[in-house]
Amino acid sequence: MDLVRDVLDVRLVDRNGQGLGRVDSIVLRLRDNGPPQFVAMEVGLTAAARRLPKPIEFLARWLARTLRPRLQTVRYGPTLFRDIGVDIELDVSAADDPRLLRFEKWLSRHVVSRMPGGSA
Amino acid sequence: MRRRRVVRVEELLGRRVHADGGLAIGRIEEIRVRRRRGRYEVTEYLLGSGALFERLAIVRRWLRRPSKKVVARWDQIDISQPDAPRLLCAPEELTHE
Amino acid sequence: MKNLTKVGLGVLTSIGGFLEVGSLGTALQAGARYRYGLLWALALGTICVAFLTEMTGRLAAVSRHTMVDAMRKRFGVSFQIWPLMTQVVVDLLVLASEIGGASLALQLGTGVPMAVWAVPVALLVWALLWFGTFESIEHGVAALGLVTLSFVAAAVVLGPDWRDAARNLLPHTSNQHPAQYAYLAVGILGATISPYLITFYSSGGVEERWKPKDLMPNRVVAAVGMSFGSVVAMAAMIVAALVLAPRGVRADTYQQSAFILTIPFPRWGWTLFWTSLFIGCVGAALELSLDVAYTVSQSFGWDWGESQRPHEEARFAIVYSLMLLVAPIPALAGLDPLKFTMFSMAVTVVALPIVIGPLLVIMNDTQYLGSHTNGIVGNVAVAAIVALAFVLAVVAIPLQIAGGG
Repeated sequence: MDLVRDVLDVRLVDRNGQGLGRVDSIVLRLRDNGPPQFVAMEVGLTAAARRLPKPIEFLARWLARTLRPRLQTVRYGPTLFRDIGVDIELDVSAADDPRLLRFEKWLSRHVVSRMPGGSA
Repeated sequence: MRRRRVVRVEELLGRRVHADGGLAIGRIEEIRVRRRRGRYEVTEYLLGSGALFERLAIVRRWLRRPSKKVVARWDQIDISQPDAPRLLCAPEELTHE
Repeated sequence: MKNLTKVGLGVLTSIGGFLEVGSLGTALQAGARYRYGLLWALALGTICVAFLTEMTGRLAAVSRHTMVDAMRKRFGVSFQIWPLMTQVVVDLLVLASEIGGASLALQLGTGVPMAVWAVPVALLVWALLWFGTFESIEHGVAALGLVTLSFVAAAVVLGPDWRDAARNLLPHTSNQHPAQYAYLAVGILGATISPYLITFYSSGGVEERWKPKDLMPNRVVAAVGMSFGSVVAMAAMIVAALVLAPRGVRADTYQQSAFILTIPFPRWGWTLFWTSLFIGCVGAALELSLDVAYTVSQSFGWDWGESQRPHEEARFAIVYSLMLLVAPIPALAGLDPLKFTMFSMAVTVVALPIVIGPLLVIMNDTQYLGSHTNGIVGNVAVAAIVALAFVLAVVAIPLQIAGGG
């Protein structure tokens, strides 16, 4: 598997097909006795911000700090891979895990659902 | 400089690899991993502009010939300082694809 | 029957490209000042946009992914941030023009100043997106958009010299105010080959769940849909040549041109004009609002889709809602939509190479397209269009200064 071609910037989906974001960063752990290991994919504005030009990185980090709830980086391990194609399917469920898609869920519950026609 | 234990792929992408003496070998364009005993380990780094064309899938279509890539094994490059990756072997030991 | 309804996407897309406030305005100006002399710009723009929409439709049908998806994946976020920011700015500017255009249309129809209509128009567009589905918007706008065929009917009734018109389908220059001629040509091409048309069409293909078996219908839809808008815009240019030019009307504002359809249709002409403008602008506003939400959502990997309920895709819905909150401001301030549009078209032209350049790579990517990558014709077409886009981007601003008066 090629990390840059097959993983970086690829869209992640959960086992129900719900979008989890894109892989903004890939973490390698270095070891003394053995090859580096691919240990995590990071999804989030702060993770993506590192790859942006400085002024935009500054703005992205400010947004991540200022918005409520705060935009947090989520880490997924490669052991969660279910299927790798144009999208990567992970063995998680966003609906069942409160740590996932926090901002989306907050917007849905506290903003959109309170607007006319916005509720379920 | 302190040796890092965690490196991010995007910190390495596009970084030029230098051998001892300052000779520039190529830029890191791809990192290959293989699954082994339930974990994913780095096996190779692909260097140089050929690897970038490979990533963008340009070469086979437009130039109608395979791209040239320099391939380094995981133990042939030190990535602990991602802004200055170092070649750990002689350049002649690297392979080409 | 299902293939017939697919044409709705092509028609909706082409309304946003050919019949919105900028395209219609420049077509009228071109006809008023140069008669049939700029028909070639519309023809060339149509060919370019038909090629590009076919390609992005093919991408959607084979990979079930959009152009923005592919751009982010292939080029990374550090590149993608530029087309993303550019597209958001361009879409917002053009959306503001469309809200202004629709408000002006209502002013022409009711006599109530356009500033009064700006917020209700934005609210109407928002409500259609919030409560509607992609299908209902697509078919509704495509059906209502048929009123713009009144320009075609007017052209037929006025009886132009069709041979003279046909001769002007080939590119040529003009000795009469060449800077202004070039400026209008660039404006027409820029208004026609709009980046949002191309990204919207590929998102629409995914919304409609196109599959590889839809490749041939996609070709037909791209050609027929774009032709619909093109034919109407050409008819508008011809009518302007026959009605405005002999009267010395330069069509600097829509108010100057609004009587244009009353010559062939004395009883209904005024109504047909302002309703055509209104429907064209609202259709374009819907398309632009969706395009921003599509582009932002796809860039960041959010769930997206107009056919989902807003609470199911909150971020997607909030993006277009925020855009529609800001877009009425120029119309509220009383800015003339045609002048504002000419400014936003120059920005659109500069953005064009950034957005369509990556197609050179994406349309040759077998991971997305399998065996359906571009052949030599497609690659040459994309390369030529990208080259044209670069030329337009370089000359747009100087020409706006030299010829935009």
